[in-house]
Amino acid sequence: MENKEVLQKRPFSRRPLIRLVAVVGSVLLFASGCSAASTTADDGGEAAAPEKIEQVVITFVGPEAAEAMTPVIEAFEAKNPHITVEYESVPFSDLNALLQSRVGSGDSDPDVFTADQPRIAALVDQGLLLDITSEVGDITGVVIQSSLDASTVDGKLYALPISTSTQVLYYNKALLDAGSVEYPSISPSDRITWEEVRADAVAAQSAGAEFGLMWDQVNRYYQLQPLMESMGGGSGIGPDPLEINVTSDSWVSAMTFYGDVFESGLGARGVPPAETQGMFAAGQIAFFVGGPWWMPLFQGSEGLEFGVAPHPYFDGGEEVTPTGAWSWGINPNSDNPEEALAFLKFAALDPEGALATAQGFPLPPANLATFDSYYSENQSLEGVAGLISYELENTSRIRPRTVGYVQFEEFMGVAFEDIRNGSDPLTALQQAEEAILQAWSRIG
Amino acid sequence: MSLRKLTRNFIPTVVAAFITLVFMLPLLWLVISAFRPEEDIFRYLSPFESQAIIPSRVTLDNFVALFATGFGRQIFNSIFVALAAVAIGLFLNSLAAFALSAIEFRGRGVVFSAVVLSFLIPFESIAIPLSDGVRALGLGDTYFALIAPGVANGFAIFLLRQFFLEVPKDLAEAARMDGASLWRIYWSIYLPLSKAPMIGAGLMIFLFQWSAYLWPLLVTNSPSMKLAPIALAQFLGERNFDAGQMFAGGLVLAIIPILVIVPLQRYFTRSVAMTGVK
Amino acid sequence: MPVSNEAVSGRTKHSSAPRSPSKVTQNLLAAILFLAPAILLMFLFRLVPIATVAWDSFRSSAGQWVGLENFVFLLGSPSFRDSLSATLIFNLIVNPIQIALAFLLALAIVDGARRPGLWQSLNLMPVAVPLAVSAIVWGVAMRPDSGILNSLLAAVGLPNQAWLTSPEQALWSIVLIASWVGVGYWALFLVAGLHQVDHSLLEAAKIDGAGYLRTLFSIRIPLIRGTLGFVLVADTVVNLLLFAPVQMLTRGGPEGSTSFVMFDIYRNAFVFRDLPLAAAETFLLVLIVTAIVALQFRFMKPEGAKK
Repeated sequence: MENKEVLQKRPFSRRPLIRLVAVVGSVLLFASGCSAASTTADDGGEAAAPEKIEQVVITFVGPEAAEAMTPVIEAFEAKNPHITVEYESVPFSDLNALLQSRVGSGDSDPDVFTADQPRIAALVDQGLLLDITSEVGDITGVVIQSSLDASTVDGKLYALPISTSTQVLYYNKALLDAGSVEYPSISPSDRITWEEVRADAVAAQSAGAEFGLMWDQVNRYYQLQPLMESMGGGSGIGPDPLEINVTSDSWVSAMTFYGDVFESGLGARGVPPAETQGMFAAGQIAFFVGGPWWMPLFQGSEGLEFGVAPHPYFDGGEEVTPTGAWSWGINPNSDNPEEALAFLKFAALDPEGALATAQGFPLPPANLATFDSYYSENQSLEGVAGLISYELENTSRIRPRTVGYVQFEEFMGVAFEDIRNGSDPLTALQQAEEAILQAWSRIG
Repeated sequence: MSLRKLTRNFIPTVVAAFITLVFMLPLLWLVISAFRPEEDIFRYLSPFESQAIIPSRVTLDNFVALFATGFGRQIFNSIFVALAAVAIGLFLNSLAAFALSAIEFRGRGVVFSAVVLSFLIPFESIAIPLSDGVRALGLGDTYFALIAPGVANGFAIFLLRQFFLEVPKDLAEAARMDGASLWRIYWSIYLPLSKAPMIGAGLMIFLFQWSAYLWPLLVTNSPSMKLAPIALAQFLGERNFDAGQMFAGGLVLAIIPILVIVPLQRYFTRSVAMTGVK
Repeated sequence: MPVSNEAVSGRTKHSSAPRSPSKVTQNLLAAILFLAPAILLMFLFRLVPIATVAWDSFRSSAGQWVGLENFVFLLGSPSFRDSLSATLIFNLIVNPIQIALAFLLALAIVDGARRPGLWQSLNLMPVAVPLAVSAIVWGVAMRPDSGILNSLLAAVGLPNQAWLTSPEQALWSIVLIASWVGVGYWALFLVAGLHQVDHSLLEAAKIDGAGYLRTLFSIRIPLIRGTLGFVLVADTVVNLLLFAPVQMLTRGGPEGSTSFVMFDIYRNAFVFRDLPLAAAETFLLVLIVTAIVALQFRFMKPEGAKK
């Protein structure tokens, strides 16, 4: 499990300076001493005498709720009694700070963490993920190819794909009825266009809907990438990983459409992504582009009659859906890489483990064998399973794989929000491009 | 006479009430939301209906669910850490403030400048090197790591120094003539006169510790050491947004410092009698 | 620095004889004992890390010496210069407003408001609300489509405002959010200061026929110079380093209008993990804050004007 090239790129370690301070400070510090209540990962017992197997603790960090991990952890621990997995739930934005700080400074904790697939290249560049190519081998055909691609950098595997995602178009039946709008078909071959959605949304809004059209993650690249792709503008990055073009005519057209939705009042300004699904659940939105994981919430919403249709596309353009979600990776400084890898393999590659993982949170599993059982077991997704499979196989497009993804996503997000709030699309996109190029100039 | 009394109390009361009311409005929504079912919290906002702030259904479910997640333990951790920082911090900071105001010594200006510099430093900028250092010393995931950075508080030293500078020197001079040591002067003269600023300084230290989020996140990971603000973050997850529980928790967190301050109000509403001077 | 209290050194006020050497050492030793614990902790937990940060600012991500490269990058970057102006504009607006309002509240509490403790306590609550919660609450209140604030405006016949979604209003919205926290908080210290004023002086002024404002400006404010100085400096520093509402609500937008330097530092350090750049930026920011605070201390000299 060597990572020598990666070590070179690891950020400047302050350990020498810290040792100096340690000598100066240790007397006082221990004089005031308070008890340590540490339960961080113990040292593994792999090297111990064969007869005695010591308890190994693996620490695991991720943004999903703690209950989401219980099924897979319990299943794994049942099969591996000498390993305990301790999961800590940390919000996504804090997760990055935490990883940069702990893993980045050489801490062995956490052993395992979730990696947002498009960020994997950046994580690898910073030396935060362990190369597991040789230990895992070729897993083509076991997991969805797009997730596998996202977890691979320069031909080497750095994380195991756990889940993927797609997006659908929800519509509020009552609001559409009021506007005499025909429901969009659920068949992908009859996919509704953005132009039609817009017209229908206007009709629904005139008939009383508070808002005609909204997106779930309303100002994030993940959600809006299909708009540009459908217009023929590509992902914005390419052909080289650090080459950007977000100011093409296609981009401007797509963003003009987007900005106009809010300018005309069809969509809501000032509402963050966390609150959008609640608005649809409360019956305030006619058309809502969101993930299939909201089905249980919408089904449980009193008085909400809704339907599901395929993600729209621009007339004459490509049919594209967003995709990608989590892969789990190992801390290069982990004291228990073998146990950690066993856990990952179970959760990602073992059908039983993958199913347990998928049960915890409603994201489609990356594991192909588990796909069908996941949908048959998940009643809330009845009727939608076929659509999800279709999109994952035919229209999904992963986010660009580049070492500069984080900067790209951040500044594009700022631009999207500006356009949403009324800025001129070309200007906003140009500013984003400048900011991104400047940030990228700092990358080696 | 009654007219004067009216204006004497009326105008200040109206001013105070007006300012408070304006600033309490967002809190009002927070309080109400904590006591209503999850679905109702955002329901009446678009368009804005009176039901947004006049709840039709009231419930304690959010609080029940919140404390079922072990929030009580996390509150306890937060209180413990905050009080420890205050207890140690008030003592150490007031000692330093006394030296910087009442003892003349060479280099006093330099030391004070260092104190000022310390609070000009944004904590986020030093959080990563500091957490690296703390963990390198093996002190990660300890109460010490949580408390220590919040004990020496430059603002507190500054505040107390300003107050100590205004304590009439005659008091201390007299005590000196009587042969009192510097410690005696600090303990028996300066401290008793400084109840209000000490409470202010204590509040500063308390709040710094109480609202700490980034630091505990970086240095602790075991569930037993989790602090309340971090625990609240779990309610704003990737595919879940439990606003009700989050608000309930936010409300609890907002009230506790007030509960600490309320019994100490009397030190603010009573002016200090400078009886020693005459 | 404000008028320095003549040190309690055992020397009478009018003595012109030099202090004996033993007294000097005695004072120094005493001072060291009093200062040592706090200063040592401060050294370890603030000064050493900032030295590390300064050290990093001259290095690349890999740890090699790059001299002033990071600084050159920053100073040559238009977005950094824009951040500087956004930060300075914000502070020029927010500090006077907050301090004036805090002072007004403090006066009301001290000068006869019924239930002073109630107003004090209620106004302290905002500072204790967790940041994430505040962000959601204010985001909701400031929704341009009939948020709570706009609904209130509509109730009195005023038009909807864009608040955080317009480049013109976003900065003012942040001022409002920051003041929501700051006014009650700083008022507390001003109340403590106002209470220190000797009643006999106020009585004497009343007997002399001085009115409320006269007493306020000629007697009370000069007497609470110390506290006022603290609030001025502390509030300024806090606001110069403020970034949480931006991080949660606007991320520097719309159109860079709320792009504060501290937010940029946070983003460079914690999102992009460009620690040397964040370090260099911190260095520059601390330099600016130091300059401003030094100016304020100068203004706080005995007969100097209040800023």
